[in-house]
Parts: sequence; structure tokens; C-alpha cells
Amino acid sequence: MWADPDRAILTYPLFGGGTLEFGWARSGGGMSVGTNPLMARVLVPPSTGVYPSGWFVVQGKRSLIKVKAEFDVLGGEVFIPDWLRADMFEHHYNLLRRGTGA
Amino acid sequence: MIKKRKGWFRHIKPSSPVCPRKPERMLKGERLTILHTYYGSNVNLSEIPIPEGKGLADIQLSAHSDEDGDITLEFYAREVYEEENPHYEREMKHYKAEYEKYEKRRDEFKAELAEWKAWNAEQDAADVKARLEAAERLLRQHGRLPGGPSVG
Repeated sequence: MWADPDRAILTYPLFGGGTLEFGWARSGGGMSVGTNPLMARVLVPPSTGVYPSGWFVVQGKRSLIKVKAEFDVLGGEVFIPDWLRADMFEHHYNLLRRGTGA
Repeated sequence: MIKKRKGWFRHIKPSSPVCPRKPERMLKGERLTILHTYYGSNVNLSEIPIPEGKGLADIQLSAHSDEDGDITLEFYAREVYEEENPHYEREMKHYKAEYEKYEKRRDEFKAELAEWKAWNAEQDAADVKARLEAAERLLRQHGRLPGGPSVG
């Protein structure tokens, strides 16, 4: 239903290398009501860690303001919070289960 | 680990005690007295029995139509009153007793709310941890993540 964002609207450098990106999902066809969900992506070099690649829907925080509030407090390099990692792993497991995952 | 109390729910704050209303020595209000009722729409305003010392500004009109379509006009005299509360002493005594109870409940409530917030945050953190562990374990099982702990 949702297609990957065409651009990142928020980017944070990750502690130890890599970036964390946020963007609005694009409509992937079909009918929808309300704002498109927020999606995120983790890009890290293999030396930092291994994460599933690709965009995932952010469910732990519903608004961009709340996401910004959480990361802007840290300033500079950020860690991936547990709620975001949970969203990422859940999303990629769901893709895998549906047979559409990488 | 905070123990859940009876009547606590996730994401719903416990309700605060209600402050009792302070009684008033002087009662202020508006009183409407019916002057005249007309059944029909032809009304001569000079027929309205306006009380002594009142003008048309003190008269309130209400019109309503009943089931057969006739219009009923009702004229009321509006009077603003301010009189002493005859039950003031009794109400004040009751109020003081209620307010003491309220103050005690309010202090207990503040402590309970702080405890509820800590409990709710604890439950949220436990939920996130459970989701993360389950999803991470499943991805590992399917070979999408390496066996060692992830870095982040």
C-alpha cells in the first residue's frame, strides 16, 4: 500500500558511523485516509553493525515533531532507540512473512 | 517493578478528586413569571399586562407551535433577584467537612498519579523490549541478522 519515500526530510548521523533517515511514505496505490505514515531507513557501514536494509514504517512515534524532539535533544550523533529498532525488525519480519522482503 | 493497583489502566490517568463547591451567602439569579398566554398569532402588545414599574424591556416572549400548527405566545416578566441564602450556615458546615476530605484525597492522589506514571512508563518500556526481542529473534532465525548481538 505504501511506497518508499522519494527523499529524506530528516537525517541524523549515527554514533559509530552511518545515518538515520526519515521521510514521508508515498502512496503505493489504493485508497487511504489521512497523512501518509512516516518511514525511516538505517544506513550503516558493515563495521558498525548489520541491519535490514530498506525503508520501514515508523509506528512508535506518530508525528515528525515527536521524532525531532527525541533526536534533537541528543544533538550530534545519535543512537537508534529501542522503539525504532523494534519497528524496523517488525516491519522487515512482516515483509519476509508476506514473501515481499529482500 | 511497581505493583499494579486496583482501578489502574494503561494510558488512562487515574481520575482526580472533585473539589466541593463553596456555598454563596447571597443568591443571584433571574426569575421568570408568566404574565399572559395567547393562543393564535394576532397579538396587540398593549394588551400585555405589564407590572408596575416595568417596561417592555423586562418582558420576555417565547413562541412555540403545538401539533395542530397553532402558535402559542407566552409573555414572561423577567426579574433579577439577589437574596440571602437561608441555608448558608448549614451548607458552609457541610462544605468544610467535605473540603477536609477533599484535601486529604488530593494529597493521596498526587502520590498515586506519580506512581501511576512510573508504572505506565515501565509497562511501555517492557512492551517495546518484548516487541524488539521477538522481532529480532525471528529475523535471526530466518538468517536476516547475524547471530551476534546487533550494534546500535
